[in-house]
Amino acid sequence: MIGLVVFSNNSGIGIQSRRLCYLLKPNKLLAIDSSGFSKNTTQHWEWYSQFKGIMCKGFPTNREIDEFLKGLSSVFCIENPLNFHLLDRCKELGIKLYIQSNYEFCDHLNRDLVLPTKFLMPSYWMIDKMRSRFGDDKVMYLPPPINPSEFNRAREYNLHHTSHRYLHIVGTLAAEDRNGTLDLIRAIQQSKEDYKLVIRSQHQLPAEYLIKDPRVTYEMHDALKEEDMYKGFDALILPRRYGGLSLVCNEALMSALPVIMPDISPNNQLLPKRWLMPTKVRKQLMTRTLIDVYETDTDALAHFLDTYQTTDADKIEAFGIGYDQFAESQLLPQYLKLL
Amino acid sequence: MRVTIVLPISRRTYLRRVFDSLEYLICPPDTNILGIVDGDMELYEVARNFIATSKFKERLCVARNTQPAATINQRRQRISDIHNEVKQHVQSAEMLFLTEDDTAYHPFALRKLFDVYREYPYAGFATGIQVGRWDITYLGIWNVDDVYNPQKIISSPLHTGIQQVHASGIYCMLTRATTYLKHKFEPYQKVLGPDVNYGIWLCQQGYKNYANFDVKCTHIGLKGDIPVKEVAQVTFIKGADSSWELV
Repeated sequence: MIGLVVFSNNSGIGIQSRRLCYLLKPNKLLAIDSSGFSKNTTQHWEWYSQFKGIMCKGFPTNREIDEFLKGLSSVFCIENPLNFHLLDRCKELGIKLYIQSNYEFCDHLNRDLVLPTKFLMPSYWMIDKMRSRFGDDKVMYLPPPINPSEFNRAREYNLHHTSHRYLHIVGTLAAEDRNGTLDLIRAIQQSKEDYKLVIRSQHQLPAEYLIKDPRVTYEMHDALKEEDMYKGFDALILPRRYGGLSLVCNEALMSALPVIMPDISPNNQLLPKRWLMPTKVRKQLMTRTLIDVYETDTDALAHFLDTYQTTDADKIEAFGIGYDQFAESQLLPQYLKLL
Repeated sequence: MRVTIVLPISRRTYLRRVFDSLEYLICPPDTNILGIVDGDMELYEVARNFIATSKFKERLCVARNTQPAATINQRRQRISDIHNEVKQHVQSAEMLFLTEDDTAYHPFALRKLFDVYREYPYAGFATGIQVGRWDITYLGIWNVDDVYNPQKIISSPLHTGIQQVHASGIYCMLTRATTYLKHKFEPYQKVLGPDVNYGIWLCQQGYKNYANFDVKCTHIGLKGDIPVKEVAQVTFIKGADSSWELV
C-alpha cells in the first residue's frame, strides 16, 4: 500500500506531486491545503478526484499523520516531511519513507532527525554532499517524472517552427532572484540585436524586474496548462543563481526547447556545454545550510541573445535529454524498485 | 523522405502506450500513419480514435475481419495476409516504418533508423532491436548460414551500433516501399514468420539489411516490460527431412 503527501496548488511542488501521484497511483493521499502559507493560493483538488485519502488544512497534525499511515507500506513526500512525526512514526511502524528532497530545504541538514529510508535527489546538485553526510545507501538520484504527453502540442510546434523568441520564466520569485531575472535584464540591456523575449511570472513583479524594451514582453499570470508556457519559442533563458531541481528547465526540455543556464551543478551534468554560460560566485545564502549564489556573465549572455540561431538538432537534442532523464516510462522502473 | 507508419492492431491492451510513444517520435512533419485493425468493431473504434487524434499528416485506419488465429502457423499466415493487404494502402509511400501493437519506441528510434539509410542508402531494411517473448530471452534479429539455401538460422547476440544482419522481426523496421510492395509475404517455410522471410528475400535480391543496436525497443507485456538486456542465442537447424528444429 503506497501513500503520497501531495500539494494541489500551481507551485512547483504542487505540479511535482500531481505528476508523482499519476505515476505511482498511490492507495492513499495526504493532501495539503497550502493556501494559508503559499503565494499560490488556488487549490486544484480536482487533480486528485480519483484518489482516496485525507485532506488537511496547512501542516498535518500528528493525528492526521497517524490516520494517513494506517495500512501503508511505503510513503513518498516531496521536499520535507511537513511534520517530523511522520519520520518517527514511519520508523516505528516499519514503513518505508522516501523524501524527494531539495538540498536547500532539507531539514536533516541542520537538525538531528530520524532519517527516511532514502532521500530521492531530484537533481544531481549536492548528491555527493548528501551521500557523505547521510551515507551512500540513504541517497539516490531519482528526479520527478514528467509525462511527455503533457507537452505534445508545445513540442510539436517548437520542433517544426522557428519563432525568433526566447522565453524566461520567473515563476514565483524566490530568495536572491533565484531564476536570475536581474542578470538576464542586464544582458538584454547590453545586447544589440533584434529578438523577442517573453518573461513569464505567476505574480506581479517588483519594479526592478520591469524594463521598457520593445523586445521584451511580460506575461504575469498563471498559465492555464504548463505546456502553454513553452509553445512558440526557440530557447529558454534561465540564468539560475543556485542549483537544485528546476521543473521549468525539465519542462522546457520536454517541449524541445534548448535551455541556457549557468555552467554550475546540476546544469553542467544535464545540458551540453554549448548551452552553458560562464558564471561566478556572488555571495552565499543561508537556507537550511549555506549555499553559493552565482552571477551569470552578462557579456556572454548578451552575446548569446544576439547571435543564437536555433537549429532542429538543438531542439531534438533538448527533447532527447528531457525524455531520457525525466519521462515517466524511463523513471517508473526505478520508482517501482523502491516499493 | 516521406514515411508511412504501418501499425497492425489486433489487441487494445497496450495501445495507449504504443500511441504515446509514436506521438513522441521525432519524424518528418509529413509522416503518415496507417492502422490495420484485425478484430471486432470495438477494437476498431478504439484504434481509429487513437489514429484520428495522432499528430501525423494523413491518418488512415482500416478494418479487416478474420477469425482469431488458433495456431502459430495460422498466426503467421494472418500476419502475411495483413502485410499483403497493407500494400494497397501504401502505393504512394517512399519509406515504411513497420511497427507492432505491443512495442514502445524511443523518440529517436525512427531518426536512428534513418541514420542507417544515410550510411547505407541501398539497405534492404534498417531495424531496431527487441527481446522476444518466448521463455528464452533472445533478440528478434536473425542470421543464416546461406541466404539461398539456409540450413541454419541463429538469433543475433547483442552488439552496439549498426551491424549487418540477414533478417529481423517486424516491430521497428524502416524499409523502402518499393521492396515491400514487390514482396509477397508468407511464412518462412513454416519455421519462422513472414518477417524473417522478408529479410531473407531481400538478401536474395542482393540487398544488405542492417540492425541499429542502439535502437532498443520496449516489448510491452502483461507481466511488465521486457527490456533489452543479456540475451541468449537461439538456433534452428534444418534436418534431413527438411523440417526445422530448435537446438
